[in-house]
Amino acid sequence: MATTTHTDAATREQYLQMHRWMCMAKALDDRMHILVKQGRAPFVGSSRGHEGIQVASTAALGADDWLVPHYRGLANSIVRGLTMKEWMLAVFAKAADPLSAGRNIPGGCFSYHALKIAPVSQVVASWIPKASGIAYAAKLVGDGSVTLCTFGDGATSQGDFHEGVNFAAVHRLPVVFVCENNSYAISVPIRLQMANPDVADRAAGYGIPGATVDGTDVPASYAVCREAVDRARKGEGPTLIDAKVWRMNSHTSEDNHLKYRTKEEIADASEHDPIMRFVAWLVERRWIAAEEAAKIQDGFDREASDAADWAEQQPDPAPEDALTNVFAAGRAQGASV
Amino acid sequence: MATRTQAPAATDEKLYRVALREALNEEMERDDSVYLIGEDIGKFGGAYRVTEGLLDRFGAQRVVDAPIAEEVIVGCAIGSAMLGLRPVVELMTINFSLVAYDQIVNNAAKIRYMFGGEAKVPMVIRMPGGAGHQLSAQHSHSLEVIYGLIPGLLVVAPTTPEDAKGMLKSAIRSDNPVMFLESMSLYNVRGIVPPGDYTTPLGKAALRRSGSDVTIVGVSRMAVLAHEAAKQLEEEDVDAEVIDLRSIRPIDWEPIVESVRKTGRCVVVEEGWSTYGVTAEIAAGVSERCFDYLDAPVRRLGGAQVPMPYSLPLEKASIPTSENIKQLVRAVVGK
Repeated sequence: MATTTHTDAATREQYLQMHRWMCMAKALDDRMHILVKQGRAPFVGSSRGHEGIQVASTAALGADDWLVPHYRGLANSIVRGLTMKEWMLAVFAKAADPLSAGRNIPGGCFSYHALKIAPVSQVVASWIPKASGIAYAAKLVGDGSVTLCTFGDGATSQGDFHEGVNFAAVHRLPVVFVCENNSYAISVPIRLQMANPDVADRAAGYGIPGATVDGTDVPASYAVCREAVDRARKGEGPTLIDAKVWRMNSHTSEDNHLKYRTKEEIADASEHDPIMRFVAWLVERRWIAAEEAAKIQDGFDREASDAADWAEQQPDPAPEDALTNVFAAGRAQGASV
Repeated sequence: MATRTQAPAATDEKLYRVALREALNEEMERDDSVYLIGEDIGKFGGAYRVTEGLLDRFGAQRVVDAPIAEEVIVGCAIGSAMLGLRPVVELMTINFSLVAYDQIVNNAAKIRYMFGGEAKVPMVIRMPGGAGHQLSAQHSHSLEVIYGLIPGLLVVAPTTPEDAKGMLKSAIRSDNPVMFLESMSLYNVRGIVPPGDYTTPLGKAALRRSGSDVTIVGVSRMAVLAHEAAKQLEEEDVDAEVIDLRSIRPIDWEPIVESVRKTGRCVVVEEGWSTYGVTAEIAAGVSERCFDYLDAPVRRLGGAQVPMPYSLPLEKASIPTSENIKQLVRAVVGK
C-alpha cells in the first residue's frame, strides 16, 4: 500500500504533532474498551480507523474556528485541545466533566466552548443544520471563522444533511463538510444506503466543490481539508469532502460487528489503520524511527490508564443539582412547571 | 399624494400583527444580534404580513428568506443562537413545526442541560396556530401542548396586541428558547398598544375580568372567547372571573389558585384537543391545589377530537365557541 498519494502540505513538526494526536486518541479509545469490559464505564463509541481524517481536518483549522463533530469525533476534539483527563472525566460522568458536567453520554456528543467545539447531538445529522447556523452567525458577525462539520455516511441519508448543506451552499457559508465514510450506518452497508457511494458527487447538485480522499492518508487528507478551509475563509463557500475510512471496531460497545461483517472484512479493515499507515510514511521519510513511534504510543497508553484511574476518583455531580441548567439563569424553572 | 387627515391618537389602537411587527422592528433596531429567518418573510412580508417592510429596512442578511426546509430554519437558528445571535424564526404554522420537532425538542430545549449549562439558545420561534379559516387538518391545529410538555422551553401565547408586542420583546431578550404561539384569528384583532419601548414578562397569567361565581381559564384565543362569554353571562346573573393563561410553560399557578379558592368553581378552555391537553394539565393542577375549596368538579372544554375538517359547518362544529363556554359555565354554577 502506498503510504500517501500527496506531497507535503504541512511541515515535519506539524506531521509529528498529528501523529501524537492520533496516538492519544487510540490510547483513549483502547482504554475505554478495557473500562467497558471491566464494567467501570458503561459505553464506548469507537473512533478507531477514523483518526487520520479527523486529525487532518481539524489540524487545518485555526484557533478561532469552530468544530461541529459527530459522536465519533474523539481525535477531532483532541486536536482542539481536549486532554486525556478531561475526556476521562466525561467517560465517568464526573461533576468536573467540561463537556457536559456529567449530563451527556461520553462520545455521544462533544461540546467545549473554550475549545470552540460546539454542542452537537446524538440524533444523526441534526448537527449539520446547526453547523450551517454557526457559519451563518460567523458570516453575519464577520469574525472570519470557519466551521468544520463532520458526520458519517449514515448521516447523509437524513433530510437534515440535505437541508444543512443546501442552505450553506445558497449563502456561501464558511463551512467545510467532511463525511467520514466508513461505509456503515451502524450495521447497514453503504449499498443499502445510497446508490452512488461517492458522497462528494452530490456536491455538484448543491453547486459547491466536492472532493474524495482516502481518509487514512493523512498528508492527502490534510491537503484537501486545508484547501477547503482556505476557500471557506476567502468567502468562496462550503466544500463537501468524502473521506473513505474503515471502521475498525463495532459501531459501539452496544453491538457486535461480527453479526453483520465477515471476519475477512474486519481483517481487511484492520489493514487500513491510519496510524499504521502514517507511521510507515513518517518512517519512510526518516522523520521518526519505528521504535520511537511505538514508545510514543506506549507513553500515551499509560497516560490514558492513569487518567482513567484519576478521573474515576473525582466527585460525581450532586443529585440536588439534577434540575440545574434546564433554563438559562434568571428563568430557572424546576419540576413544578 | 396622501396627506394625514387625522392626528394620531395618544394611545394607538393597532392590529395584533402590527404590534408584532413593531416589536421586531424595535428589537432589530436596538440589537444587531437579532435576525429573522423563515419562509416568505422577506419580499412577501410573511404569510400573515407580520414581517412586511423589514427586508427593506434591515437587508437580506438579517431577514433571511429561507428555503422550505423547517429543519434547517430551526437548526440554523439554534447554531447561530449558540454563538450569541438572537434569531427569531417564523414558521408558517405550528402544524409545520412538527417537521422541526427534533430540532426543537432534542436540540434547542436540551442543549443547555446536556452540556452542563455551557451553551445558551436565545431563540424565538413564532408561529400561528388555530382554526377558523377553512385550512383543514394540516394547517389548523393548535398543538400548544406538544411544546408545553418540554422542560427547557418557554411557551407563551399572547392574546392582545399589547401583549403581542410586549411579550415578543421579552421573548427576544430571553436567554432561553421561546415558543411564541400566535393565533391566526388574532392577527387582525385591534387593541391599545402603549407607545414606545416596553416589555411584558413571560411566565405570567393575566386577570382579564374579576368575578365571584366561577373562574374561566382560557388558553390563547379561547381566553378572548372566555372574556366574551363572561360579559354575556352577566345578563344571566353569573359573575365569571376570566384568566388569560398567556404562559403555557411555565404555568403561573398563583393567580389561578387564588381565583379558584375565591370562586370555588373552574372551567378551562382551549382550542386544541383537551385529552392530554393544556386544559388537562390545568384541571389536574387546580384539583390538586384547590380540592378543599371546590364546589363542583373542574370542567374543561377543547376542540373536537378530529383532524380539522375543511367544510365550513364541520369546522365551526369542531371549534369551541363562546356559546359552548357559556353552556359549560351554566352547568358548573348550577344554572
